[in-house]
Amino acid sequence: MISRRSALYWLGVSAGGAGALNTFSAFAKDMRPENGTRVIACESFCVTDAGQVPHLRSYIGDTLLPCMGQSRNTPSMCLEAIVAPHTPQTLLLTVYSSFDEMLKERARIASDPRVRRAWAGIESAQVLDDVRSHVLIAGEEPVRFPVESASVTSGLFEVRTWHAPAWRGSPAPEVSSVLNRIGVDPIVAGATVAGEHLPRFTYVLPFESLAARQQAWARLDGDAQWMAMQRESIARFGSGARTTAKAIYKLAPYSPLA
Amino acid sequence: MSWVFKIFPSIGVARIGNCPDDSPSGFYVGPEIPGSVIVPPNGYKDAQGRVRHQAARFRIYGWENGVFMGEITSSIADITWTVELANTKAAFNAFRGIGRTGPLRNASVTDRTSLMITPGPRTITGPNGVAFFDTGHFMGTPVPLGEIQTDASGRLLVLGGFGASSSPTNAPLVAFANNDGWHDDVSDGPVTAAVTLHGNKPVQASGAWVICPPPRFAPPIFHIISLYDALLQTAVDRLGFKVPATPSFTKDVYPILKRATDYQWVTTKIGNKHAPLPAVIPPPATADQRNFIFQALRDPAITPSVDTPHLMPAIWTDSFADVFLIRGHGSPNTGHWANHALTPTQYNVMKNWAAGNFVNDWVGPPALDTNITPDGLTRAALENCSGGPFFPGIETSFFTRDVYPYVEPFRLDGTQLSAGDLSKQQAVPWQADFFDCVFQSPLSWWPSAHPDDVFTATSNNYVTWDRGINSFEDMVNFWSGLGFLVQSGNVVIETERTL
Repeated sequence: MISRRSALYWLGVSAGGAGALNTFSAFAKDMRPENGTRVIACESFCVTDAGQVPHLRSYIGDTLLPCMGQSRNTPSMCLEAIVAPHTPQTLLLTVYSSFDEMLKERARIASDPRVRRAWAGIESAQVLDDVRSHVLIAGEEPVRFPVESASVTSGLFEVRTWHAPAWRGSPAPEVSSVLNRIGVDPIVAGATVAGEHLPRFTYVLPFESLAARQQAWARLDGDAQWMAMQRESIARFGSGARTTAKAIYKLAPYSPLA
Repeated sequence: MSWVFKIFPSIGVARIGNCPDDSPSGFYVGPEIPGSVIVPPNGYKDAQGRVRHQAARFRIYGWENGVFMGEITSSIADITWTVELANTKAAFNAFRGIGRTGPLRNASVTDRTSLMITPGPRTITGPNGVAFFDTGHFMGTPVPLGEIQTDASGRLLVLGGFGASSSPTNAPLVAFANNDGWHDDVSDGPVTAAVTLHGNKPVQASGAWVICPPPRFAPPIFHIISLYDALLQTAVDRLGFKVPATPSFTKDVYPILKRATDYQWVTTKIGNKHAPLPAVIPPPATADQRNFIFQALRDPAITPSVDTPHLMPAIWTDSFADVFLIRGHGSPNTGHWANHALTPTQYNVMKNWAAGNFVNDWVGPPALDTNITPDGLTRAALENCSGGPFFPGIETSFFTRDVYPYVEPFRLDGTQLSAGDLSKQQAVPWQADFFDCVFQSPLSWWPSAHPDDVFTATSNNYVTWDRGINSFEDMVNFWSGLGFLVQSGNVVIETERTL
């Protein structure tokens, strides 16, 4: 059963939720790059059972996304979990140019009567166990949601989180070069701004197939620069970058693409 | 990159039924969330009054480099399941009680394989498959043991036997546990799976076991000592598994109190022995109240056959053979009895609670988890089985608790076991034990599987649950007519009785 607090938070109407976001805003000001902070909202909709998936698809695809796209072209992507601690699960990634924009957008969406009506339907039908939200501050690398192609629609997306004391406040630039060298081109890389096990960094990584993913991570284990980074981190901080969570998704059939 | 796959539940339970409908609406899947009670939307029986199978559903979970990934389904992997079921009761030793080795059952039969219902393993690859255990025989008579299916996601479903027990030699039923010439169709065996993530090599998942016992006719009532509790103790004793030093009232103490209190719905034999329990909910209660209850609990360190005045829980010892040899069914007229103790872990929970050493986290009865989890699958399966008394037990026996090896808590070492090993000590046929298990007053056996006394929708007085069943043969022929118990508001009543 979805917790009311989560639902209200998502809709942006919870005082507690707004307070948390204000905290994020204050945090973001400290780390805002010259070209502005890009904020990535990650919303995981955990569905009670497979039979309820069509309801969630309808809510997101028919109501939420059209509403989000009404005022501006908010870059969004929807992923459905194949392997994750909770399945079925849909992850909605939305990019905002700032916290202020995110708050305004959420308030607007929360007041939209169609969204409210559809959300009430989701609640009454007990579609969701939970909604888990977290916000990432994007690194300096561009956020590149994929364009439509066969490899995107048939491929996989891994969402991987590292606890990495050596990376400090944002994804280390050298990580991107390591990932590129092993054949992985992140579409999102961001730092989690609040919560446990900080500093924590989340990457959304596309793969053509599971085999390609396996091969890429095998290459990482043998990458000299990566190993050097790990050694240095252990020497300075007592531990290297450690994967704390990962899950594998596919593109939702209704997901917008860049 | 290395993946580890494990099958959950590590021990699954597929209860037999005589409803032949093996379509998804013809059976129901057993509990998958701890504490949950499954009430099939179309009833425990079909329109003809036949008991539906309770299927065991097995899932595979994956860990990559030690990080939990989640459930592995056919959307990301090719999964090949292999299951073997067998019933070898008639070829095993007669049951004489814990610590005693009886002579072989059917000792005069030289072809021992003719006594073993062993259809062999069955394999399914991919979703929406089915395979039948329909090639086993007992003394030349075919005895089907059930089937396996895979669902649309590639999960495994096991459906057990049909409750068909008979004697090809027309031998009489003479005893509760050992009846030569007879077979039933309960079974058990290993569950294995090869998992091939798309584009990768196959990896063998850590195996599980399935037991296919008789129905549990009182689903809302949980055993005071469940098989989960018994095997948790096994894990503590043999694998060094650690339990929290300070018990939680909600998670540890309350379930013991609740289960013992709920026995009022399934037996009159507890009398007022469990009556003080509701008074200590909510916590903390007084030290005197807690101590009064703790002092009434039998200490598991006491020799199981010794009579004591500590009459909680009011169920028989699994050393009943010793009790019987000492005095038969006669009462010692002392008010002292050889009842079954809680496990040492449960007893320690109650001891800490009595001493005030517990976490008072009470905000009301615990809500059910909403997520299906690997460990939750195992717990949900095992907490619905009796963990004692084992004389010899109804789902499985003391061998599973005391003898068989485990590779980790609750996961048997399948390399050292054979299909049929978890059920071979049980009564043959099971209906004989099921009939007999109400006659040993003043204590009860496993009344959440076989209720002693129940309420009906129209009566405020107890009635005998198996009324109308007057012999071993009656139980063989009419077991499926017995009623199931359901929660109805604040009471538990019998329903779907078709006798």
